[in-house]
Amino acid sequence: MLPKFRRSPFISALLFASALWLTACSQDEQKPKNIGFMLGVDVFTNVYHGFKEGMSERGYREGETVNYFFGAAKGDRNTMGRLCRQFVQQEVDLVVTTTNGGALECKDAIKDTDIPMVFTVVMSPVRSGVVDDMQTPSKNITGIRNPLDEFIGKRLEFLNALSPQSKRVWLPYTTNYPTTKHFLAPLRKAAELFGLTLIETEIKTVDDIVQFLEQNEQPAFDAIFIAPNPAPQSKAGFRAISTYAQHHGLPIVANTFKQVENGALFSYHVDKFHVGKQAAYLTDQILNTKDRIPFPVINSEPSLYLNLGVMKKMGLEPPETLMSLAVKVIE
Amino acid sequence: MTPPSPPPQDNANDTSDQPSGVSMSKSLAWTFAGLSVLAIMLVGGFSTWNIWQSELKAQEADMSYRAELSASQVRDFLATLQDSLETGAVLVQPKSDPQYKQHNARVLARLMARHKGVRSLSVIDIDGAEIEKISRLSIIRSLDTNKWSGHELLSTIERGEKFIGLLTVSEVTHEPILTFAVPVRTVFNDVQGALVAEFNLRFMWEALSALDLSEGQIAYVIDNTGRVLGHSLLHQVLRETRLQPEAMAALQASANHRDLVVMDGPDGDTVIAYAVKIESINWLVGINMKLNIAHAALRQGLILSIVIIVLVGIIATFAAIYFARRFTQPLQYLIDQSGQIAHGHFEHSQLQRGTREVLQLSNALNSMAEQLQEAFSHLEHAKTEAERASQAKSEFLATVSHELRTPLTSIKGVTGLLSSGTAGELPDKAKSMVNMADKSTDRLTLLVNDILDAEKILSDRMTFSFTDIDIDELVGEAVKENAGFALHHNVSFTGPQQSCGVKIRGDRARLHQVLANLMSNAAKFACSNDNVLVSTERIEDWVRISVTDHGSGVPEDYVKNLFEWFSQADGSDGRKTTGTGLGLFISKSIIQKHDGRIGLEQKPGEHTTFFFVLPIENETAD
Repeated sequence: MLPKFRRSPFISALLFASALWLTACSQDEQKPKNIGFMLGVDVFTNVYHGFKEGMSERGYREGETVNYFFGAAKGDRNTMGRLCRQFVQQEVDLVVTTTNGGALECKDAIKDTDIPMVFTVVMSPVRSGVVDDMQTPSKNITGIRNPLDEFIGKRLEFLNALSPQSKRVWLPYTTNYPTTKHFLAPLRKAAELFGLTLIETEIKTVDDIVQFLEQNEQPAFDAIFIAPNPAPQSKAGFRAISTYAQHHGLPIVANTFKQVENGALFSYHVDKFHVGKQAAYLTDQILNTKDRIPFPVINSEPSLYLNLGVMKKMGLEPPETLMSLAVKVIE
Repeated sequence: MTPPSPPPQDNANDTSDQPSGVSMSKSLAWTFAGLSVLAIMLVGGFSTWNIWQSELKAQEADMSYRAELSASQVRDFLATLQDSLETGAVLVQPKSDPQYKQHNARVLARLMARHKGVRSLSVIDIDGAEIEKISRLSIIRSLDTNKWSGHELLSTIERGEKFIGLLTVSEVTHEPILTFAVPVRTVFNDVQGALVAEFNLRFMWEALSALDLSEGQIAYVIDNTGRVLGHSLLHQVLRETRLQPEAMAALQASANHRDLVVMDGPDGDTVIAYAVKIESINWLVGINMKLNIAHAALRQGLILSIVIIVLVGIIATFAAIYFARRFTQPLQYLIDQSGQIAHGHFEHSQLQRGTREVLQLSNALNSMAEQLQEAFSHLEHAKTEAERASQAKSEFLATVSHELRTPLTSIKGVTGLLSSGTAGELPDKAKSMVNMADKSTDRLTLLVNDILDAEKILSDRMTFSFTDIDIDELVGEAVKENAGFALHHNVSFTGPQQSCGVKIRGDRARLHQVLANLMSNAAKFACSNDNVLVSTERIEDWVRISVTDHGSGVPEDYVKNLFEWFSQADGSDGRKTTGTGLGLFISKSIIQKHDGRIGLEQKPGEHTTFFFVLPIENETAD
């Protein structure tokens, strides 16, 4: 009987090659990215929708290559902080926030981690203390700036053009909210320019708004200006204001398109859905950049939204210039 | 025939006897493997080179296509803006129109609503004064009546041309702002002012990022100073990135020659780039791809090819070794079996596996082994019988010789007494007969002694007693002792004239026996009155002892067998000389036992010399 040919080295070589091949193939499988999304106030829900659509356009598939951990703070700073800390505990790959307060709370939550943060709807990122520089922000934080402090005066310009008889404008705001100090000065300056009187009221909660409106059954103002603060922008707060305005035939200068749809006269604001897409761009860049090079803060542009129905109810004649300028007019 | 069994592993691996069999297997295997790998590498290498070239061409085509596409997007982007502005320029009213302000504000508002990137729009008159303005962010408090006075924009507009330039950067957002102006004309086509737009080029990003670029590609727009105005990665624009002059020159070269270039990209990485020029504004639209990414696909293909080549090479090597072994192993087995047979091991096992020819060879070998075994058995039997007969003969000779010696001694004694007259004076006739009997007894004794010596030699029972021997002394003694014999044959012995001075170790009696044999032969065959010379000579490490006579010599036909058993030049019954025919055989055996050599040199008619040489390595030290 002849000695048999030893096959073990041959088979071992084939198995080794197959193992190498399978290992190489398996490396193509990517671990899904976990993203924490903190919605500061409900009116910015469109940021979340825009963000998810933007991520989808960039090839991320929810549940496969990306998982979203969503949290809504309803305008409460404590909840914002808690949600952000929760994201850190969940070891997400990136945090997306809305509002100045949300950005500051999440910045605090991630300060001892490597988790990057993309903020949105932040008015003055540098002056708010969210970032140290617009062009080269600190390596873990960047976002989309809302240049409201630059264009907030335009809202009074448009109010003056749409409702020239409105000279006294009620402005309920929360002094301690981070945004306030940035928009208040340019707004006061614009009011002065257009000969308007701002009736400023300190409010902290929706209850404060409701209480104020109940105490002023007869309004001592001709228009209402929705400040970019959580309480007046919350559903309950705006509902109370809108009901009061309709009852007394007062024009509302809004902050979002949703508010225009719900009875405000007009709004001049950045498109939050588009902001969400811009945030998706930054997120994609950060997640795919190993060295976490600082990404500059991106600006966003405002557009005009008009409610022609409210105008007609109030007997206002819509100026052709503003009708031309508006990107969307609700009949 | 024994049942087939595997060959012993030790023997199979034993290469000492049959190195050629193993090397044949290995060389065949490696030749097959080498040729296979070479063929695979040649084909694989050629294919890989082809793939590389195709990929390079495809990459160049792809980059140029996408660069043209990007340039087209940028042109469309600018054309759309220009079309809108020119349309607006037709619609705006001159200052002379009473409704101009309201009308123009409406036109500007429409334009602004249409183009999100427009930051501000203004209508200026022919002197450069703003007559209407709208801003996206700022409140317009008053119009600047001297805004463009004396500016290049105004002189360009006055020539009826559009103005593109005056790039500024927003201090807050670092966005590049482009000033774009088109002339406003009267119904008579006279230039009466301009429609000026400040446009945020950040929005060019949306056009570029919407491009369907390949993985690792980026599209960008740079002005003639190298400032990045648009980029598929927005942050590059906001960082106010600027290309190095060398990179700019490379891009210009790419645009001019419509070819790929390698240069340092905005991030400092080495990239391959393709650029297209937008002539109207002297911008370059480029497509970059990092060199490592560009080569990644090529490398991947190359690595895959190499892996496949190596794997196929390994498989081919194993296959070649396998087939070569399969081919050569039966042969090796047969070679081993032949070796076994050659060494007398006839237990040959039948091959169970192999080609038809190899199996036939195995069968033939098997058959040969059987026949050889049978023949060998016969030979063994014959040999045993012959040995037995030889043994019997030897015993017979020894017994007969021994038994003859005793009566011969008695006869010799009796004939001696009779010859000496001890038993009384014999008549002359009887004395003569007694003398004949005495001589015959001597010859018979000599024969018996020689036979006994020969038998001892053949049965290897002859004993030797080695002592130190002085050759001169040995030869001298021999000449003296045999002088009577010489006298009897009417010759004389002459010993060496000079001493050779050699001492060796040897058996003195046996060497005397040899010398006596040679000298007696010389005396017997020498001419009458001949002088037989006995000489010694040292030749390097040997000593030669010669006995030379001048007789008739040894016939040439007998020289060959002269030192064989019972060999005599004249074996006839009527020969003149006496002898047993064993003397030279015994002498040769004795000299061989001393590691020496015995021989004959003769020149017919002149002399005959018997000699023997002994090694001086046996020479004893004094």
